[in-house]
Formats: sequence, structure tokens, C-alpha cells
Amino acid sequence: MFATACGGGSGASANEARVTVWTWSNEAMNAFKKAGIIEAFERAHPGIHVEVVAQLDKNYETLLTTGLAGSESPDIVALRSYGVLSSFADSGSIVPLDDVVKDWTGFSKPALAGAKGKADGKLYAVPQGIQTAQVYYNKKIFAELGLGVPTSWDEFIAAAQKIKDSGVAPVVIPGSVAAQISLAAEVFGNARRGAGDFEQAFIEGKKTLADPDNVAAVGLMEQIKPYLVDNVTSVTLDEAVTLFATGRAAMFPSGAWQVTTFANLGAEIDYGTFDMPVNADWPAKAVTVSYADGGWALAKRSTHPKEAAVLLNWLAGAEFANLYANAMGTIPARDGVTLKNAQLAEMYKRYQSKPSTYLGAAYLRYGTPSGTDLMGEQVQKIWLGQTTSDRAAKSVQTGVDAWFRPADFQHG
Amino acid sequence: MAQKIKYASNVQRAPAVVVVLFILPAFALFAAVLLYPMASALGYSLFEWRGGANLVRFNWFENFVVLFTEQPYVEQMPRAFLHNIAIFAGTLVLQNSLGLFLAVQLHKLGRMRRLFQVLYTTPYLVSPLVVGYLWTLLLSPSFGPVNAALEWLGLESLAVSWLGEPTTALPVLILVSVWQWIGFPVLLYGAALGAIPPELSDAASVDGADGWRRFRHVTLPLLTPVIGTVSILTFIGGMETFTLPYAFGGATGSPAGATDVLSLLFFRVSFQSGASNALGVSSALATLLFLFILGGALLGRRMIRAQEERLS
Repeated sequence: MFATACGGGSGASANEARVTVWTWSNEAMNAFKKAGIIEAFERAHPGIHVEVVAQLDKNYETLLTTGLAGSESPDIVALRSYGVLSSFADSGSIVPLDDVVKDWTGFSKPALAGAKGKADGKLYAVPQGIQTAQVYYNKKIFAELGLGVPTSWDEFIAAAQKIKDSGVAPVVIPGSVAAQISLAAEVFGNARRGAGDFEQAFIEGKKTLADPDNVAAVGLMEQIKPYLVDNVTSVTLDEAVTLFATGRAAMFPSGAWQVTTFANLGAEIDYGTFDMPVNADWPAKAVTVSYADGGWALAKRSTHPKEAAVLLNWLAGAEFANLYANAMGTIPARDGVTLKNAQLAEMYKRYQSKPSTYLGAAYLRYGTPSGTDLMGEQVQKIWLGQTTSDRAAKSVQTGVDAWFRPADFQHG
Repeated sequence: MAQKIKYASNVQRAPAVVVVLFILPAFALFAAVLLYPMASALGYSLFEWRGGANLVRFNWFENFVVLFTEQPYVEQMPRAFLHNIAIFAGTLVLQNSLGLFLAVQLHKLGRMRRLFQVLYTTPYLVSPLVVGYLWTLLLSPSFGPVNAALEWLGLESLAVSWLGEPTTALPVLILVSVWQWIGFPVLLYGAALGAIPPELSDAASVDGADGWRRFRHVTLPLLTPVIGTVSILTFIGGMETFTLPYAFGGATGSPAGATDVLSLLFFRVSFQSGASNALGVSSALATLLFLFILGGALLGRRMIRAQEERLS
């Protein structure tokens, strides 16, 4: 708030403007300030100053609702992709950017899908980044057992058996956290379900989650039950990270953000990553599960919309993406970026060649109950022996039937 | 005397304006801080919304109807409600029995009483979120000391996945909740016990009543008002509990919804759903919860008062 207070006021001369950016992330604010992002922008655009403020409120979205309605509205705000962004677009507190940002060509389809308002299909944000989800594996354990990266699901199960026989838990999943279970299920099952083809059929209303291919995908979570760490439904995210980092679990399906987590742990973990391999008779080849991870939106009540538009166009460019992705340790939402971190660079490369949308994040979080919450609960029930994959898949579909309408996603 | 009466009647007639003037500041504060937010939640629940700031139309009680007729509410609301009731009932029984027992023991204690009162109250000073996190660590089957200790004692069969099994998660939640709040009833009962004149007990003693009968027929009836207060506060706490279930099972009431409560359902609808009319439906849920708690508390108060009158 202090930033807008001096925006265009006493601190700046008549043709100088201060553009205020709000984000929920302290890391993002630091990246802007310390990795030379603000400097690079201000050098190229004299007269426009950028102030990035991290609003470290637990309910960032609630704070935004008030902030965007007030007289001291920020100019640009970071928003979480999909449902959250779409609900702000619905409320009219942010404006469509289709014509504000001149060049969208560098962004991937999954990245743009997360930036659209559901009601009108317009683009409401410049994508910030992408999360990819893959399997992390402990190279040392694999080498000791003479295992290579599996090239089919059957090989994966055989490797898991060998690891189990050696006394190590083959796979850890944060089984107490619905969103994490759902993400893991997506890493395992996206290709088994049919990847992009299934996605297309799903949003066209031609297939549902009760489809035999999706039932089979959920069934993979039943198949891996014997290879999971003990008491998996009590495992938190922190515990999963620790179990993997200390070599008590050999594989860990999770998001790209773990690269930063492992680096921050300070432990020397010799790990690699792979996308879940497929069997020859599955409907799709191996894919990189990916979803949009936030975007920059323009506030309707921005006091400097012209300058904010200049900044947004720059945020959509390759120069910013290079600086930001490398400073944050994330996968960029657009092409033309060189990542210095080798692990992330590998994920980025795989993602660019065969991205597949995380169905739950992209389509099933626009209502109550959210598809990912349901999936988490149903998979827990599978592991607890309370349901079967067939009933679980159908139950998720019945749950989202309360609000999910494929037609809502048909905007040209 | 006549003059005095006249003076008094003057005081009774004049105050209308004065009374209003005196009450006004407090009422204004009460209205701004309490009445307005409560009325606005009720107001929100009667509208259909698009996003957080855009109101579409007045839709009477449609949001309430949704809660009772549509998925997921028809399934999740009763489940969450039963968990709230279980938490209330479990906490009520344990706090009123264990809490009273501890208070009576401490009352007999004399010098060390203060020390133990402070000790029992300590967890009460810690945020439930921190308490939840600490107990998650303590009860972790992979890293926690509780199961390690059980295994060391040769009780492997008891070293279960406390928060990972639906059968144990809710009872553990209730026990931890009691562990945290027990100091409060202990203090209240302690104060009430201190206020009972010892002569009453002594008189019963002279009449030949033994320890249990003195407690049952002299002390316990005199504690009725405090038992009532503790019960009503437990009811309110049990119905609106959020932080501890959230710390244990996240917003979905893991495992498999076994620790889901109404506030978590509210949180999922209002903050996490991304649904267009989230504000309308969640306000309806909040209003229902408020009315239920208000009704329950008033009913409880009435029952306690009737009991008190019967005893006096």
C-alpha cells in the first residue's frame, strides 16, 4: 500500500509512473529485487518504476478481493491459475489481456489454458511458469540393485519389486494430502488414460472419468499399493521429502518444485527424474504431466494502466522468462529460455517435446467438490481397502457432475 | 421524603434521551463490529454471486436449498456435522469428567496447586495449529517417538498409523483437543470449588455423609452453573472447530474424509473451490452454522437454568 501511496505522487515527477505488483510469494519478490529483473526493465523503460510487494497473507485471494476493489489498487497482481484466476475474471476486477499483450506465440497451450477466464475464454494473465510432475528416483539405490530407468510400466513394477526385496520402500507418496495424491495419480495414470486424446474427448463431453481407460489409470494406484511406504495415508509432504532424501524410499512422484526443496535441504541426494513409462498396449506414449503455475493479471482499477501494459508485455517476453525462471528455479511457461539448473533443464526439455495437461488442475477445480480433492479421497479409500478403482473413478465423476459442464470449456 | 420521591421520579422520566446518549457509543461499536458482519453474511447468503465482488441477483433461499439438495453438500454436510457432534460429545464427556476430577484433586492439594494449574493450562496457550503440527510429528509412524516408544516396549500391535486410519484419526483428534483445552475447565472448576463454603461439607459430614456422598449431594449440585458454562463453551468450540482438524488432515479431512468438519467444508467452498457462486453458498453454510450454534447454546443455557432452579 505504501508503494501506491507514492506512485505518481510527491516522489515521482510528472512523467514518471510507479507500477505496483502484488504477489503471494516472498521468493518471487526477492527474484524481482535481487536477480536484476526490476533493473533490467527500468533500464529499458525509463520513466516507469516497478515496485513488487509480497502480500504474505494466508488468504492472499481474500486480501486481493479487498485490494482490487479499493482506491489504492495494485496495478498488476499475481494470481494462481485456473479456478482462482477465472473467479477474479468473473468478478470483473481484472481485465482481458488478449489485445493488451501483443505477442502470445512463445507460450505453450497448457500455460495459456491456465490463464483463461472460464466464462468468456479470454486471456486474463501472462503465464508465470509451468509445473511439471514426474518420478524422482534415487540413483544410488538403482545402481546398487543394477536397475536402469524403467522403459515400460511392467519394468517399473519389476524394479519396484526388486527394491522392495532389498528392504527399501520402493515408492513414497504424501498420502495424507489430497492434492499430492491426486498429482501422483496423474503422474502414474495420465498416459494410461490416453493423455491429450482423452483430454480432448473429456472436454468435448465424449468421455467421462468413468471411461474404462480412466478406470484403468486409477487402477495403477491400486497396483502400486504393495510398493508404497508403510502407513502411506499418514505420510505428509515433509515426511515424503525426508523419506526420499534419506534413501528410505527409492522413488517419489512429485512436482518440479522439489528440485529447489532438495537443494535447500543441503543433503547430497544423487537423484534423477523420469516420466512414467508406458506399456505398448496403452492408448498413449509417455508424457510429461504439466500445469500452469500462476500468472500476472492487470487490475481494472490500475492507476497506471498504460505503464502496466508496457510491463506486462515485457513480462510476456523471453528476457524476463530467462531471468525469472533461473532466479526462481522453475520451469518457464514459454520457449526460448536456457535453464542453468541441469535437472530443471531436463524437465523443461521433456515438457517441450511431449506435454500433457494435468486434468485435475486444468478442469476440475472450478467448483465444489474439486476433482483433485475427490481423487485424493478416493485413492486413500483404495489404499485403505474401502473401495475399488472402478468405484473410485465413477465416484470422482459423480462428484464433479455437481458442477462440471464440458461446454464451459468450449471457447473457440 | 416526598422530595426524595419526586427527585426519583424525575430521574425516571428524564433519562430517555440520556439513556440513548449513554448507550449509543457502545451500541455503535457493537453494531459496527458484530451486527454488521453478521447481518452481511446473512445478506450475502441470499444472493447469487459471480466471483467475489459481482453480485448477480437476489435469489431468496436458493443457496440454502442447494446445501440440502445438491452434491457434494447432501453427502459431505451430514458427514461433517456428525464429526462435529462426535468432537463435541467426546470433548464434553472427557472435559467434564477428567477436568472435574483433576480440579477436585488439585483443590485438595494446597501448596502445589498453582504450579499444576499452570502446567495443565500451558497447552491452552499454544496455537492449535502448532499443537496439531507437533502431534502430527509425535504420532508419525515413520519418525514419531510415540510409535518408537510403543515398539521399544514390545507393543508393536499398538503402534498404528494414528492419523492415517479412519478409525483412529477422529478419536486422536478428540484426545488432542482435550489435551489442549483441559486446563480451562480445570481452572473454572477450581475457582468454583474454592467458592463453596467448607461449612456445607462439614455439616453434611456431621450428618454422617461419606466423601462420595458429600461430593455427589453437596459439591456437584453447587457446580451446576460451571458445568453448564463448560458444556456450552465446549459445544461452541466443538461445532466451530477448524484449526486442529486442518493441521491434522488438511482441508479435505484426511484420511478419506474421516476428520472432515463443517468449518473445513466452509473453507473448501469459500476459499478453494473457484466456483462462481462460492460466496453465496459458503455464506449460507456459515449462516446455518451460526444459527445452529446460537440455538444450541440458548437451549443448553435453558436446560442448565432449569436444572439450577430445580436444585435451589
